[in-house]
Amino acid sequence: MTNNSPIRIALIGNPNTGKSTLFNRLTGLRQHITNYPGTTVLAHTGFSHIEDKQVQFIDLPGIYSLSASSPDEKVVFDLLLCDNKIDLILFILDSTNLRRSFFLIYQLAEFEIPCLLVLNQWDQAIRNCIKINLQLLKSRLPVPIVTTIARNGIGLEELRSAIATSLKSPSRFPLPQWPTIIEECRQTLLNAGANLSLNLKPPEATRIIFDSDSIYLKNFSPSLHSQLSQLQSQIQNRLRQNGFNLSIAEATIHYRKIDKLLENVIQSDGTIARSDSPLDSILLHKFWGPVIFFAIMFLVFQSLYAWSAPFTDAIESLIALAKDNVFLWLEKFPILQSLTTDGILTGVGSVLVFLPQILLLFLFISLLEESGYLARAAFIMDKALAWCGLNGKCFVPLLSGYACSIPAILSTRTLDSPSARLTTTLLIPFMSCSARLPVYTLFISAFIEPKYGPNIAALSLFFMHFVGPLVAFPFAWFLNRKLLRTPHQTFVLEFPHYQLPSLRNVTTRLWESARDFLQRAGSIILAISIILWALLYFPRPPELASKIRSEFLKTHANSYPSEQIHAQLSDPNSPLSEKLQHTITSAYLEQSYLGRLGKFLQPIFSYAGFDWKITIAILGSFPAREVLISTLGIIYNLGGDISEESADLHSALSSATWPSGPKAGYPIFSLPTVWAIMVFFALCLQCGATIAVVAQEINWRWAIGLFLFMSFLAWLGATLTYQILSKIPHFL
Amino acid sequence: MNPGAKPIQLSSLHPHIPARIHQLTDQNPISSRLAALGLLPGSIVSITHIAPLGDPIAIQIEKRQIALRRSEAQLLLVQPQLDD
Repeated sequence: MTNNSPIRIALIGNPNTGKSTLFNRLTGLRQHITNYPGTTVLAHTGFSHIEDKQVQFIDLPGIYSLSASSPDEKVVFDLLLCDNKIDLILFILDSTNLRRSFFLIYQLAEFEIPCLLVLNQWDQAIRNCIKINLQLLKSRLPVPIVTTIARNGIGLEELRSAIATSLKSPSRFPLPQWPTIIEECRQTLLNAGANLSLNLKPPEATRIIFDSDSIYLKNFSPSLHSQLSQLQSQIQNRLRQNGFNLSIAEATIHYRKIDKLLENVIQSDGTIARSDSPLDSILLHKFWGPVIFFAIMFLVFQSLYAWSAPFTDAIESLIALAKDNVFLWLEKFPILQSLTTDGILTGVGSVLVFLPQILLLFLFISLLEESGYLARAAFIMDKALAWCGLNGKCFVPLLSGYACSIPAILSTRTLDSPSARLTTTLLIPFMSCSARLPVYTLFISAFIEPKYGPNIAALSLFFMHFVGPLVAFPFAWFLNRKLLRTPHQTFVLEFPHYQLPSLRNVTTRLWESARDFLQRAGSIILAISIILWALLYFPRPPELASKIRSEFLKTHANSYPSEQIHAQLSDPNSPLSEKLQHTITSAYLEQSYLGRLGKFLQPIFSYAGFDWKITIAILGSFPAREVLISTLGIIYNLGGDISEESADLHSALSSATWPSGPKAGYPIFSLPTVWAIMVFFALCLQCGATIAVVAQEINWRWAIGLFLFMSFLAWLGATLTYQILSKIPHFL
Repeated sequence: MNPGAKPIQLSSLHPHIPARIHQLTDQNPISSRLAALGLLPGSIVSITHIAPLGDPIAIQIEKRQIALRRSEAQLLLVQPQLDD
């Protein structure tokens, strides 16, 4: 232990041991979540004081064993392997399952890091009639043992003083005694390591012997890797010839010792009676199980979709109020006025507006997880998702994506398989979020309903909600099975005991998720919002406004007497002056950098039947897709303050015709074009906030890659839709 | 007890019939994960629940419930312990 660096204590244990609850108890709200470098494995760290000394606690991912191919195990292994990084390990054991809990400890003993055993869920052991002779266990082990009930904070003081004692006089778990032949093999490996001038450590040697597909070998350079693999297969062949089944050899050796250690320690009733909860016979029932599951999912979805609306509306009205006030204050500085209202305040609003949904989703998920139901839900849904490389736990985040991608992506943190977490994060933006709804409503009610009636309109809206998943799930299958060839992850899921959710854990979770979103994604969303404001605002030549004004006067000179025109224009609220203002706004949009980009890119979008106005409107919707409505309003000289149900907008769109070219005089918004626009919106990632959150949860490479991929897919989908529908005479 | 029963794959065991683990398929990384959970030769397991879509299955080992996919359960050979 060095004096100048902080003391670092790692919490290690199996999943469902109450490890994170204990971590919350030890650190309170002073915690920080990051990804381990280069992984999607989440690192929770937090600070606390032990006898006036600053201590950093690290909550490592819950694992059952070191011998596997998942990044979770690698994170634990790599962290412990680094010299002097961890001063003390708190091993969290499940008191109802000591035998299995000890397996991981025996595996980790070779790191020779001082440790302290915490027998958590002590109350569950009592409830399950498991009698543990603690004195006997203590007499057999050289390391201190503390019992806790982390949920109620019982045993926490004893734990803190045990930590203080362990930091002063550290004790280590006994090293494993390997059978002679395995010990020889380990020596062979360690010597070979020395010859290759590798500082191979005992835990690494053990992993190389027992794991055939070990990802630890990938830590080494390719040449070392091949030499070590060669050595590995020689050793493994030798052991097989000596009768070892290598898949189970390590477990057999350790469990034999564990059984000896626990002999007479655990006085169980010795029965092998059914131990599943009576609740499971209903919640996992062939018929009632799915019924209850879908009822709960409906409740979650309804809360995101409907219950959050009053809160979201309140935030939006507050922002609108702030905008109105700032607008008046800054009347004299048009650039500053536009920057603060359309740039900064819009940006702040688009960050805050996600908070109600994030909090609601995390409330539900933490209640479901804490109560023990989430594992059962994953069990029910697993087969429906397994074919494309996902698992049952991915269902809740995916469904939440139908309300909003932001909370849904944040909730992928509940997925313990990193590859499932990556795939789910990439799939969520394809789910038809609620911001797509106004776009569909606009086009369906303006073009499909008048022609085909309300039934076909409703069916079209329903269909649009499946366009994303229809494309995305085969994409997930391709990504997992063909492109990344992610190894089939084992689906080993333990059913936790049912219990009442702990209020403290739920509130910690809500606080963490909100703070993290505001701190990390919030700033990026704000930056994106300001950049897009600038692209839409600049350059803004003042002469354009006067030019439009004189043209406007000319065109209206015939219909009104000139003094009436001037009288109306001097009143900013008169219809004529509003019309002029809308025409000027539209002209500025057309000549803005984004407008120019739209005209430049228009040839590409003409394959999908889009004119330059649609192209600009689509580009303008990249920060947030619902902006399409107001951009269309501006382009069609109706102003940006317009809703998707506006009759003016509907008639402006239906009467728009191609000014020239082969289609001159025909309506721009023909049915093939309308469907192409809707398909484009279904597949495109037009949401700055989602990009920011994907970058936060995975990294920028994936976020930008996903954005480009979805943009291309959207263009391809729109083009195919337009080209195919145009060939059908009915749609012309 | 029926120690001579022919080993079958855990995936084809009938629900609620206790069975003794006979063997785990060698040279399969999933086997070592299952072994780490205590699914070792000699342990008693039984199937307690089957998911509505037929897969995965929940098994009981000692006092805990663990869900496994059928493809994973195939790696375990068990001997049903029929009542005698």
